[in-house]
Amino acid sequence: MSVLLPPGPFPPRSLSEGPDIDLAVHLWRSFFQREWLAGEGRGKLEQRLALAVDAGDWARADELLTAFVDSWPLAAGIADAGEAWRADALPAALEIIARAADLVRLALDWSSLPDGRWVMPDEPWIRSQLEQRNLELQARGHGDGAAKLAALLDCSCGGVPEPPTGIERVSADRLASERARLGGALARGELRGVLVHGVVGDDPQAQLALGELRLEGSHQRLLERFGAVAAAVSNAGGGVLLRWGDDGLLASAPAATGGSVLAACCQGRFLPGPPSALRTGRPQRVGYLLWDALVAPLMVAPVAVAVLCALDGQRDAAAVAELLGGPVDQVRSIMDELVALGAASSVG
Amino acid sequence: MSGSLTIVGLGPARPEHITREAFELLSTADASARRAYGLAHARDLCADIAPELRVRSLDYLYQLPGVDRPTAYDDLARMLMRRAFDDGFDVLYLVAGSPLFYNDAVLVIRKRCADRGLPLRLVHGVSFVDLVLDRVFWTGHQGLQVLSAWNLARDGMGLALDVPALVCQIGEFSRGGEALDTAQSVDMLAELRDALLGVLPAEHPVTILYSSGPPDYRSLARTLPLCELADDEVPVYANLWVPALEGPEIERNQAPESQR
Repeated sequence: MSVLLPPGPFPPRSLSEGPDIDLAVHLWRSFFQREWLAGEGRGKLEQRLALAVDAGDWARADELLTAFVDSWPLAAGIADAGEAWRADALPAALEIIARAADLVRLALDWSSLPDGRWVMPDEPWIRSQLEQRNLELQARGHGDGAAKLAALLDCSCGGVPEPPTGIERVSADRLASERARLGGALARGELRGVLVHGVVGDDPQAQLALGELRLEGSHQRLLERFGAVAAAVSNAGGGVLLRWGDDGLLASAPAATGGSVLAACCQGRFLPGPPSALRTGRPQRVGYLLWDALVAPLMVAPVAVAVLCALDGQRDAAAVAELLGGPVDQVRSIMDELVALGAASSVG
Repeated sequence: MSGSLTIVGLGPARPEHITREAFELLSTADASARRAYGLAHARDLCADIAPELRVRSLDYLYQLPGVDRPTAYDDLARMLMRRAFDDGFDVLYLVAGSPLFYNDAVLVIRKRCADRGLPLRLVHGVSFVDLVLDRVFWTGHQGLQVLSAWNLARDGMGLALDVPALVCQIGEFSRGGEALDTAQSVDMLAELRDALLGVLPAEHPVTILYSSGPPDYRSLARTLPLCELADDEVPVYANLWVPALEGPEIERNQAPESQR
């Protein structure tokens, strides 16, 4: 009998599964791929964005817009992030993969694992992975989705392993009373972090206890953000987290060269936005510059996207102005700005 | 378990305000054997003096929902004592200025250590008072009263009119300092002005003492009649010099900026 492993902890540290069926590995191979994120995933996000706008579901539309434009840098960066995670367990890689997980959930309308993170696939997808084999479900950590899987498949589940070494699980309502022991253990390096289950309320003593865990636990903030999988992070970097959108995670666009004839170095899209207007139900047409690289999407005036799309490596400013029916000086000025942004570059 | 707790005053601003004792403690300490805690100011100073020393950030204390300053300071004191005396670490608590001026956490630590008979080392630092008094001529002949703006404006504390006063934290909006916002300082200034106008003439000269901020931290001063005190904003952590009503004439004068 082969073993069926749940979708968590995610992302997997290894992509080899032997005779077992490891749903975390299957998830990775199916969706955390450049091709899927730039193709089917992006397409689904665009469709859902249009539906959300039509339905006036503005909060959802805002979420989907951001996810849609993030699909460009994520598609470009997911392979390297996966490699960096599997090889060196880098926290920055985990942040990129976590953002990709947001996209997968939004694109497929799936939920998260029971700890509120990563991806819990739906039943049809899970069943499609089982290959009609006789399988024994084996949990491998708290919040790994095994219990949900057992319920879906109506099967029993092997025992739940202990938390990873150096990690302790504590319920939120015991945080204040356990604080002195946990704080001391974290300071002495006997623990690296505490997985708090449940919601830490506004009780000052609970808040102060959580503050001490974050102060003393090398992995505390990582655990709170990524769940138990963060125990594998090799160098927690003093507990400072790089977040998606930070300069340290996303690079600047490659430098471009000016000239009379330009070609686009990125894609341009017209989308409903900006996010602030979308959230309040008053979307306008905005432009986005989107690089096929780990570069932050850039919102611009729609006319800049119109000019970008006209840059075919043959037209000069006059030809672009004629095509768009605009003043040549304005087109030339926009072309200069596109070069400065690394969005267009001289041909030849 | 043999730990220790040392409170280190780092002076009010520039690195050269750090005492030799503090400098030597930080620069010669075996960084791996010490466990240091401090706010942003302490971390910045230590980055120059002792780059190997990791200073754990206490900034979180100001960001916890539902936790007021007195509770946070009390909790900080308990935590540092626990780390030193229960967990056995050599703890350095790095504070701006002098540990003995306007530092509630230090006060709680000192009292608790005294009550429990626990050893505590204080490494003194230059206080903000040294820095701000260089722009006035304080004789010391009639003493000095040090109060907060809140004391005068909202606590109803009276001013001894025959003693010069240094009124602290006039840029802070609240006692706890939750709203450290220059733009709100005029509200506190107006309350302070009205309280002082109850006992002093409108034309009584007062001097706002403040700092130019990083990197130079120059001592700046602006003398004006009391009635104009709330006409403009003041930076946070500004102080006010109020000469005695019939005190020495020299104490009414603004001193020139010290040469550096």
